Amino acid sequence: MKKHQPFSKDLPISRRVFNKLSTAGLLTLAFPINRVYSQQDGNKLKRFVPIMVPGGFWQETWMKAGPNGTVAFGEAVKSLEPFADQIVAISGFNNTVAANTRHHFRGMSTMLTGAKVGGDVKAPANGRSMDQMISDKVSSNVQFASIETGFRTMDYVDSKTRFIYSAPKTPKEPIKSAENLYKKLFSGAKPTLANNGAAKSGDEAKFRAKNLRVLDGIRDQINMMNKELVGQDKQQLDFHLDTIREIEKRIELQVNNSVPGACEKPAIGENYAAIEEANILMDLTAQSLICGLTNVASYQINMASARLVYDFLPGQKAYGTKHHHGITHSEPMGDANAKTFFPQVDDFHSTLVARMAKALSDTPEGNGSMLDNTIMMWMTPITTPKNHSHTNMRWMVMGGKGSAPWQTNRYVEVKGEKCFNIHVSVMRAFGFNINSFGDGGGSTGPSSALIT
Amino acid sequence: MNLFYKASLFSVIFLGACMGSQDGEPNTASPSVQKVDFGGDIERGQKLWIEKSCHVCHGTSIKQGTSPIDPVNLKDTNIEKLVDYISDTMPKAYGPESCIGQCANDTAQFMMSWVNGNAGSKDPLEVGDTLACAEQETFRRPSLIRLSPMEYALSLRDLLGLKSLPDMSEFPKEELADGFLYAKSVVTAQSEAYRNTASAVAADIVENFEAKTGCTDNDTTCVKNYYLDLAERAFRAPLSDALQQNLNQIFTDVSTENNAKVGTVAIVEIILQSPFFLYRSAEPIGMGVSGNAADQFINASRLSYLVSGSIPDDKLWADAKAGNLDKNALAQHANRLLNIESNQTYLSREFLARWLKVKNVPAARNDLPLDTRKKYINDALTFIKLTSWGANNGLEKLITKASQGDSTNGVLVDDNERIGILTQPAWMVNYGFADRTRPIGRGVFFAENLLCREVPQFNGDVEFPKPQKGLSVRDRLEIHREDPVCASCHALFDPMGVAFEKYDQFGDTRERDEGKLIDASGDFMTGTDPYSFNDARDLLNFVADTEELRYCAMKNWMAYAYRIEVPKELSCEQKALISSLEGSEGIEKMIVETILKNDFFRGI
Repeated sequence: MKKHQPFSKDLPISRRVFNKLSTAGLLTLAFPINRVYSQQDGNKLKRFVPIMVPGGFWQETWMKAGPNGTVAFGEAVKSLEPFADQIVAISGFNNTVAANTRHHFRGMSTMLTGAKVGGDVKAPANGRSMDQMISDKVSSNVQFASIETGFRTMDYVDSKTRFIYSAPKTPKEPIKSAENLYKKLFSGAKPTLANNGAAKSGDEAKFRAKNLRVLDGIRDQINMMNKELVGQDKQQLDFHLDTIREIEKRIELQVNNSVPGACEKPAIGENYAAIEEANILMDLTAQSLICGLTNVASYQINMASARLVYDFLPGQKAYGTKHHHGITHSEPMGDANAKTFFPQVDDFHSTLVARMAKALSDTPEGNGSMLDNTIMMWMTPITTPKNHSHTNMRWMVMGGKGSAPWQTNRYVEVKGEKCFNIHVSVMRAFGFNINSFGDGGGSTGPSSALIT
Repeated sequence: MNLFYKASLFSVIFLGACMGSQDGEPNTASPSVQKVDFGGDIERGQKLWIEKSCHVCHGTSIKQGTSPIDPVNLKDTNIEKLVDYISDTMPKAYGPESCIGQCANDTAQFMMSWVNGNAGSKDPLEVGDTLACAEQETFRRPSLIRLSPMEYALSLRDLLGLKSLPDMSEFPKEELADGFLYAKSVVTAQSEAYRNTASAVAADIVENFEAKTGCTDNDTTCVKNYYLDLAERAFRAPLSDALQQNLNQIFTDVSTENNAKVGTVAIVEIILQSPFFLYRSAEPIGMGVSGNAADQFINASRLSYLVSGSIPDDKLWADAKAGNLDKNALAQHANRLLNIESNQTYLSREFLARWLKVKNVPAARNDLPLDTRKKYINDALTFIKLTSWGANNGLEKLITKASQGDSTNGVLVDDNERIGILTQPAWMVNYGFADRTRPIGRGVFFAENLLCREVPQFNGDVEFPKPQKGLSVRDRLEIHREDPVCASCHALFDPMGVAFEKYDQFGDTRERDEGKLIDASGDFMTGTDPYSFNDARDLLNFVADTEELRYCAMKNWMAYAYRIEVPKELSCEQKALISSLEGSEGIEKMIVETILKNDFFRGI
């Protein structure tokens, strides 16, 4: 009998065993995830996890108002039911910044930035996304300011393919390969000399320590340059220097071993089937939080106007090889095929969201779980597959039970409230003293759904 | 209830249906706010009319659209009431209160101008004055531009004498979808890639120390001269004393603890990750040069990056260092560099192919084999090179030259059906679906990209006539335009798209569509008199000799140079240079003349 080889030198289990664990949602159980490495205990919110799915939510089978304003779960989102006490489902808000044209582009580009769309609707958003701002608050002692994961995302860059922006017009590319994500998370940053073989000729450790801050030697000149710059140009250079500092900090943390070097690394395989691939990417994203490597992690499925063929869902059969976006535009939206297919898509998406929630919920932190100290947002850029619009939209805010200043297990109809009120509330929960978010008058204050 | 209000109420109801009522929920309009002084602006109102999609239901003037505004109603109301009404209820598509204050004032003024006979009012969808220029520059000049991935790769190659371009696979993609835009700032992954590339390059220097530096590792003076020279070329300006001292100090520190090779590694890695290398700036701040002397280096760098995408070559650098780079010398260098084939290739790909959207074949056309897509792009690039540079070539040739050549130069063999780059397969494929042509996309490109006309952006839930046996694309477009609302936009670009119907989505020529002989004729709106053309060749021959095309080329040149969106208008001084695009060698002349304008590209 052929012996199963460990497929990662870091983890002595076989691919078969790993895949089983992963498929069963037990990946996190295979590792000592109770070892939590957060910066500080207590009830303050520590993490932010935006999850973007394309194409709108199928209203009929999504969440609804239950008894006494609680959340009731439609058939497509049953997987979220175990987390009802962490959920605020919000419906009826309008994204007036995106406005009602070029829905996919505008919906995606404004989703986390609230930035007004310029003349070229395809141009990436002219604003920074809220996850990056939150990262500024919560990432002082983690290796990665943020992690961006993408399931079958696109290589090309425009406003409908990206939703995370480190700076205006600077989208962050999601990592869509499990292998690459694994490497990024667990291979460690490389002090430059360690790479190049020159270390052989000297004392690597000494040089490494000096080389941690590569630009320090010419800091005076850089400061002179920076002083002369204003506005966007200055911001551009500042952001660049920030990224260098982030890398240096990561190396420093590794060198000084002040971050959990012992955090268990999951292992990855190759050639996943679609659902397995989506799951492993979500598991790795969850591990990045659980291992304390980052406090801000996003997950994106394909792009705003999904080119994804959901051929791993039975309902796709009726549409052959037509992709999701094509189906929404050229097929009947009220027939039996649609009523079968679109809830299955939501089910696939919500199961992934639940996977992240479970991983965090299973991880103790303080007196509760990691989910209690995390805010997740499940978002889509348009209202429903039927209505490519930005009015009467619905999203879900999850987590933060006991830490966020609002009551959970609620379904709230906000009746025409502005979309970015949600962002105001979430940002305030993370300590930002703001009354509006983005530009273009897209918010009027905190959301009435996210109140104490 | 007055008549206008009734008409408007109808409009509200209609708009609900037109834009997709939201799950049957009632309009939640709230009371108006922010009433201002009624000092609206007609011109701004015209723009808002399109931006807010008012034209979709109300057309572009009185009694137009499916929910027309009756002039009688407008006469019966007044500006105050109109502002109130717009503030409270319009535009439905954007939700209540999305056009209040100045927006409502401007829109109201524009509407009232229809009945007041105001000379400033015009159809917002008519072809505007595409040759307008401004007294002052209307776009922001950046004072800092990060090297594009291609500039970075070329600079590294030329700086270090690499045999080939460095591996860029680790770098995240940052070339944005359209035009000449790149990500504005770097993300961490990019800084990591800069770092790792610097490390790899430094490793190569260590491995081949004597060959690369020309020094033995115990000859400290030689090594210092090597890295100071490297820094100067990388930073494209002489180093200040302080900067030299800093670098020397780092070298000494690291060498003392290790050895000269490791010290060199440290310096090389600093140089290659430094903002002074990775960014081009308006002034050589922090360097050892200022005033007139600084201009020498700024001009050298500016010319070099515009034309070659890399650091100044030895000749240009030597003249800058010697202070010899006056206007005449700069012109000579510009002409010299433009005669170098690699630079022609660079400009063909990075400027012209990007402008004309033939640099890549989009992923959506992966129905075509990769080799085919690559061949089409290479053919297009070759075509651009053969028609744009050298004697008797230029913009007009690029647009109208008959395809010539054979398989040796990669250009499609002349089939007597094609003229200019826009009849090459690369463009046809880019503007084609896998199963059909894309006349609307082609038409929008022609108006928006080739001629820099404003095309309203609308992508609502429009029902377009589906493919049907016996119905040509032209037929379907005509049916679509029977709706005056649709026609109000489509008339601006459909005819130009239909002109190319004799080329299919694979770039092949064809005669029939759905069994019918293709009629590619149409009217090209220009000024007050339309030009009637028979097909794309006819249209291209007409357009190639227009100021409109030349002005658009100049705008794209500015966008290329500054990495900005293509500006709507240039300063009149900049526009004056479009005459340089006339006749042979037009593109080269434009480049040289714009570079010679002393303040033209200041800031890059």
